[in-house]
Amino acid sequence: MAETLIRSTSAWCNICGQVEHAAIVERKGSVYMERFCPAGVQSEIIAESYAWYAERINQPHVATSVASPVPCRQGCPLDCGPCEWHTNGLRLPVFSITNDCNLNCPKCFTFNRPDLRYYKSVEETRAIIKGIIDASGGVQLINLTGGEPTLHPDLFAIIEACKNANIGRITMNTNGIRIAQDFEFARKIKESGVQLVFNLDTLDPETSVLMYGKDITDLKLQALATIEQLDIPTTILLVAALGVNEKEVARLTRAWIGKSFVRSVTIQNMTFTGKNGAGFEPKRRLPIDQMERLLCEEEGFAREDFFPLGSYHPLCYSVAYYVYYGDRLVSLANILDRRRLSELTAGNYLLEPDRRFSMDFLEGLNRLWAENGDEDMLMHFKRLIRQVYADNHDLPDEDRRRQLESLVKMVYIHPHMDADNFDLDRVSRCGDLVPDETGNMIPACSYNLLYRQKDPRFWVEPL
Amino acid sequence: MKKDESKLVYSQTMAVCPTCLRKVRARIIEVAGKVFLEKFCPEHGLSQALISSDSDWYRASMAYIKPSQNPKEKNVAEFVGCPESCGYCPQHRQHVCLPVIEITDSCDLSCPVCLKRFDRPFSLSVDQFAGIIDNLLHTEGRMDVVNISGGEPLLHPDLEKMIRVAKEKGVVQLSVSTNGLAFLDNPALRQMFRETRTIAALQFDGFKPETWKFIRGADLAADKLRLIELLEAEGVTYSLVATILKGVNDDEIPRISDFFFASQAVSLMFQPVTFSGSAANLDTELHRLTIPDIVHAIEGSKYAGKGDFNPLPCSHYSCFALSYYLKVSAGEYYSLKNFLGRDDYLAMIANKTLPGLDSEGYDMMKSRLYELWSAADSGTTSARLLDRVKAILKKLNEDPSPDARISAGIDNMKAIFIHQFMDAHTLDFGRLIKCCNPYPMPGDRLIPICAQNVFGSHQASGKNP
Repeated sequence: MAETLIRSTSAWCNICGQVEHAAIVERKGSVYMERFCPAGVQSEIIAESYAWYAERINQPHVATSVASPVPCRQGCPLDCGPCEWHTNGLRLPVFSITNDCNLNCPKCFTFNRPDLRYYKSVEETRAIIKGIIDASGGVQLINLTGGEPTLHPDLFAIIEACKNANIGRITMNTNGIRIAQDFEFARKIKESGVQLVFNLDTLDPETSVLMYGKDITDLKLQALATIEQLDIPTTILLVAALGVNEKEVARLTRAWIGKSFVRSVTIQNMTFTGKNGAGFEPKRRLPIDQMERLLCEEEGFAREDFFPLGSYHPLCYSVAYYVYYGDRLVSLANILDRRRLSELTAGNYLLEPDRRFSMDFLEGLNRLWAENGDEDMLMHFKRLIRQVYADNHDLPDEDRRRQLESLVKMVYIHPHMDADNFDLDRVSRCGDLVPDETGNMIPACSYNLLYRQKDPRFWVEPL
Repeated sequence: MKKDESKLVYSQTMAVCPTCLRKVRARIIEVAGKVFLEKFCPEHGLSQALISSDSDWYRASMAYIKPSQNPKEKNVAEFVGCPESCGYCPQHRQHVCLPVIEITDSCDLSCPVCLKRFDRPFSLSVDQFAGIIDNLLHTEGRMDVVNISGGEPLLHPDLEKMIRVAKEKGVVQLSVSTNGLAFLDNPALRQMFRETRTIAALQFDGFKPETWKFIRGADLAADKLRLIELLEAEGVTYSLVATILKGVNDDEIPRISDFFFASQAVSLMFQPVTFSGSAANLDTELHRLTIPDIVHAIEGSKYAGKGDFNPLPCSHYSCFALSYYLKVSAGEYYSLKNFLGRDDYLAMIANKTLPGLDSEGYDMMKSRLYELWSAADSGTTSARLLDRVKAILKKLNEDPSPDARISAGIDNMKAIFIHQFMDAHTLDFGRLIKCCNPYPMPGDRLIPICAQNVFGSHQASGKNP
């Protein structure tokens, strides 16, 4: 079989508990990672298209780091972290405030012990926030997760403890059940200023059983209605499992992105990690570019809209930004080129509406005008950008950010890694770090595969 | 957050700790326009080794990849880890292009730059050698070119028998890596090389007495020049092999190149010093050179041009670079890359280590020649060059045997190769699995040269490292 060795990486093997050499190999137009483990060579697809991969991977990346990395001791991924080997800063802190959950989803990629409930205290939360500020100076957003965070009895005190001048946005994952069932609670969520990351894998009863373990379609629809009614800024999070719901995920993305309460859509390709997820069936891997292609079969999305997210590994994020014009999705990649967009996100997670961005944006509009672009549309965008950048430039950055966010719809395709495709190239560039109370920060995929089950608050190994 | 604009990361890989030789995590990084292999050993910490002194060359080289060509057979049935499974194991991603058979540890020199250090004396028997050839024919189907090395192979009493055995078994071309000293007073040996049309791959490191003293421990310049005169006068085919050390003889690269073009040598191999074997004692910081250093220095030759060189895509792009030249007349050379165009050229040089014209190469030369004739701009290529190529093709039309093709290559082309071996500092498992230059061991094992030089001390024992 003709195959081409493209490059090398190193990969963690969960079977031997060691890091081994792995080759990135092209075969029949697709790309695979082959881990040369003495216990057996593991081959996993990482991109369905070599052309896509080659375009994304072509540049070395600039190394950044947090303020005081921990020294390397055993070597990646056992020193997290982040250690001296890590080459991304802290972009998106993600931490669990409870292991409590009102579902037991087959697709769940975390470890949550069922016998003992843990709820993070306000003191612990404050320590984490301090650690985040110390390491980064400030971040655009943090994400609270679980378990199901809405089950935390002191949720609103926790949210208050997270508020800080140097933290732009507090987002919180939820399955939406409590929001669907308790309108008063939902109203308090809105008041708290927290943004939701609402999980919506399916609206099909049968698929719901496969993903969530039972049919909760009505609860999902009720939650969406409440969120819309209260206009809570929300990210729709969809887990896409190949052979289960990958096409529905594309359809749902198209159907919900236009809603005014929706800020962004994140598609997480199914990862086979955690108490339940490790045994999820069918175990079929959905590469990032395949999801991108499926999404682009929906009206309004195109392959040229997508670019890698700044400092992350291209296999971890593929991102597109859109602005609505009437009922049309217009990609920012039409206005700024994709490389520029990728650069603009390099130090962050979201677009930073600084002066550089506005200059680039206006320049892009002028170029489109010179190329005979739709004049009404261009005028519309010019008005928008003027709203964001009020003439006197007095608008505080924060307000400007919120304005821009309500205008720009973001689509993230974001596969995690699991035991079969754990690539040190990817994990050492991760900016989605899980901070603890002592200032340690662990890349999310390292955390889910190797660290969470060692934390007795969340898990004990069954005897 | 700290942003260190000066540090770029290409990719992770696995390498070895230069202190304890443990297999460790590594990555390829760029700092200030140079590319390094950075390693982390849990016991010995971080270390770095230069792998390319020119990041532009390195970045461009990464595009030189092509599908692996697997051997017909692999002798190792089961992969149990790299390099423990050598070789070739089921995971090895290249066939054998040029096997290097070490026939003896004996040597009449003890060069400080030698990349070997044998742990025991050995001398291959003719039977063992024949077995090695049989094994190569078994795994590869055919084996056109074989290199004999050592130690000093000219000191082996059965060298001639080995050469004849190999030829009887169908090896078209043999080369023998040698310091050449044993040739000087042995006309019969030179005669045997001429008669068997064996290439003497002659160590030739420069002209300055200091160079010779540093590299070989004695000033051999006069001996070497005298030997070259003898070889040329007697019609023995030879090539030049130069080991290059920064600060010792890198300044001699243009002169060595010019000497090569003016000589009858068929090829010139530059080997940036490898810190294995005896050379492990040398100072890596002072003396390490990489492929682009050599390429840029060769461009100082009056015959070579900028852009003549590129990595060889069938081995790993960090292991080999080369350039072929067509001989128009004495002292007039034309870059084959310019003649054929980049794509045909790359297809033609793939999977070869000697300037040869196989049937594909022949077809490419022919079609390019027709193109140039039919194009109105044939004036841009010298008429003498076209006539020359036409003459080569005519001859090959008359006799298309493998032997005739290899001679056509030897007579009409010159090649400069740069071969960057790996040592304990630079060994990268990503390169190792694409190696096409193994040491065939007695028995059936084929161990990539750099794996053997870094991990193995069992030369000739047939045992895995």
